[in-house]
Amino acid sequence: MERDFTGDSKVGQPNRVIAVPESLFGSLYGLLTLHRELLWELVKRELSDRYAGQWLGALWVVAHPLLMMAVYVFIFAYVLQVRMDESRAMSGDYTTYILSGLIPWLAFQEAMNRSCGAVLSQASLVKQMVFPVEVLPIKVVLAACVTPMIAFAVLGTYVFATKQAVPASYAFLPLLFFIQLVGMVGVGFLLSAVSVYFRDLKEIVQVFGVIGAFFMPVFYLPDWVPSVLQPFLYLNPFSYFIWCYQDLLFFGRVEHWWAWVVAPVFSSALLYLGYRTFRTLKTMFANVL
Amino acid sequence: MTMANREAILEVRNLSKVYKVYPKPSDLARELVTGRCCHQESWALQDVSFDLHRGEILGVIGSNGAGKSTLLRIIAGVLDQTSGQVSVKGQVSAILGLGTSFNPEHSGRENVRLALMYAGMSSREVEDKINEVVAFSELDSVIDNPVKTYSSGMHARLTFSTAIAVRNEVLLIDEALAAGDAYFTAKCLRYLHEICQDSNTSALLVSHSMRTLVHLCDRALYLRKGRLVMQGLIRDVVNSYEKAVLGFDEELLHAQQSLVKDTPLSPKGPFSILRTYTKSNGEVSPVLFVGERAEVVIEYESQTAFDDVWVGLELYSHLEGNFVSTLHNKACRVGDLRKPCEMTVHIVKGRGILTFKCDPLLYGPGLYFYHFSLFTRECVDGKRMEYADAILHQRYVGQFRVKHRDSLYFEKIQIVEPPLEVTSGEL
Repeated sequence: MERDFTGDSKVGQPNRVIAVPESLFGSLYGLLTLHRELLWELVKRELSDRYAGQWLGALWVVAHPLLMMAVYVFIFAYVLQVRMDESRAMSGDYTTYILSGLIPWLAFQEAMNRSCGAVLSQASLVKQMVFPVEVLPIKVVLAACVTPMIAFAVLGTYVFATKQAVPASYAFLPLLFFIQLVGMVGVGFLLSAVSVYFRDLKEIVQVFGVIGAFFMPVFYLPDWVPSVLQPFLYLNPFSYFIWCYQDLLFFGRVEHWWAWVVAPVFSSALLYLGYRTFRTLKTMFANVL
Repeated sequence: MTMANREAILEVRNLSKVYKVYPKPSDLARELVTGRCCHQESWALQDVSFDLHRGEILGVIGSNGAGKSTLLRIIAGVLDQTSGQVSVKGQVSAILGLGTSFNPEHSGRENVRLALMYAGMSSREVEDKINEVVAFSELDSVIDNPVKTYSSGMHARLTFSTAIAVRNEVLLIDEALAAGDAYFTAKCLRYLHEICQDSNTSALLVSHSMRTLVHLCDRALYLRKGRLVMQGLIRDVVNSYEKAVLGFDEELLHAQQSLVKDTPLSPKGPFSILRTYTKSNGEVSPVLFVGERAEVVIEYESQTAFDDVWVGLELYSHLEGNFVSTLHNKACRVGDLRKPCEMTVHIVKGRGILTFKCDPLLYGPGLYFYHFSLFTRECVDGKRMEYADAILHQRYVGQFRVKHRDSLYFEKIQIVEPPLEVTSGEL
């Protein structure tokens, strides 16, 4: 394997030409296949380390999302007594509606929060070890997938318990989640690389994660929003993921076909942007870590 | 050496690195927003070019901050360069720090397992290799304890053992051997020598131990303030490094030696040293030659006369600070350790001169400094030769350089041969 860096020699003005291979996604695929065992090991350790030494240990993986979901459902469905026209839905009630949008957003939120520290917290590793740094954000995002998987299982159980049946559309859930995963890995690359230089990003992302849930159709239908504000809902690319999930989990049919176009495009764009940014910035990490 | 004929596995061309130093982290943001320059530039490397050949161990010499670590990091690919080219024909493994990349909560074995996987091994290869790593590190008894309980020497052992297990084409070692104990360091160096000779491994070795480099490398790079000031045969590079770093300049030393100091070297006491110098073949010279006549001269002032005292010079090697030997007047001759050669030395009242003569001088090339001691006969006979009992014990009274006349050899030989003549006279 030949590695070649080139750069011009303008003094003091780094104008770097990092050889980005012809196929950016090809190199990512190569990385994933070559280091799949390493990634698997890292994800296992990420999960076991996170809860190591705690009394309830791995139970928190389940308890944390369940509590979050329970609080939102309690506030909106029981305290505020929000009711909606459930006749169009195949599979559920308002609780199902909230959860089908909330779970994917919580997954995004966790992936974003953890990505910010993916490289920063491994400063000595990045500075001293020769290894593909790309595995760090990927591992963090993969580890963040455990929570939504458990949450989806809980949702499925709830739907089955209330309706005695689970719609066939649930079978497409893995596909949709994979599309989201692509986007999450992209966000992971982007945030983990940029936060090395701009450390405030972590705080911004945390705030964005908490309030973001209210700026997309998770707790309400788009029709409930004043028409002045509706365009913002459609401008938020994350809304399209929510609609896709609602199609699968709540309506049981394709209600928002355009969302099924936007979501994969947005995911791929995120991955492209994130991976490109990461590859451009990664050799400069050691300058600031 | 036929290095020029061998294939270059690593080529570095016109490599430069500027660190942008921002006084405050917010200055970076300010610069990005306003476009105004808010940083100072610090050149870590400037226009460095060299080749590393297959099977070669290339030494890298330089003072702290000379750019050695930056160079290794750029070659390893964990740091970007400002300009220039690095091309490596093969995979690189590196020891850039001592075990700080280990997770302190995990056991040594778990850390090794992960480190090997980071290096690109599959879990099957890791299982095959891990026992080899543990065996080399000789940490069997503690390998399953958390790494946080390890000493820094154990960290060094684990780091080195892991890095060499990967067996990539190029190995970069940044002072990793310094924290290990003498036994393990020697084992590593021997192993490094073996793998570079037998297989196609090449290494870039950063070290402050000239002895290590001289033993292992044929060639070396000498970095000063980011510039490659010299590359070539190890003895030449080490020589000029010693000269530059230790402020050893022959002309300057000559000038200093010819000056009679107004103030004595040692504080006023019953015996004080006025000045010291060396003579080569009878001529005052700071440079002495292997196999030729050499004298170390001490000029002193004494309040009283002493009959039959013990005078000694303890010689230390300048670079390693190692004790080399003692020149004194009660030395044992080589070959007959039981029969001391007693030479009576008298210290005259007033100003006098002590000469330690070696003919021939049998110390290896290098820079030496010496301590001076003067003991009474009673101390020596009563075997109470502690410095507290000395009439005078003074450190660092002088230094000299030993060279080969034909400068064909570099290897430090240390034949401990006592000097053989210590004389005293009037100044």
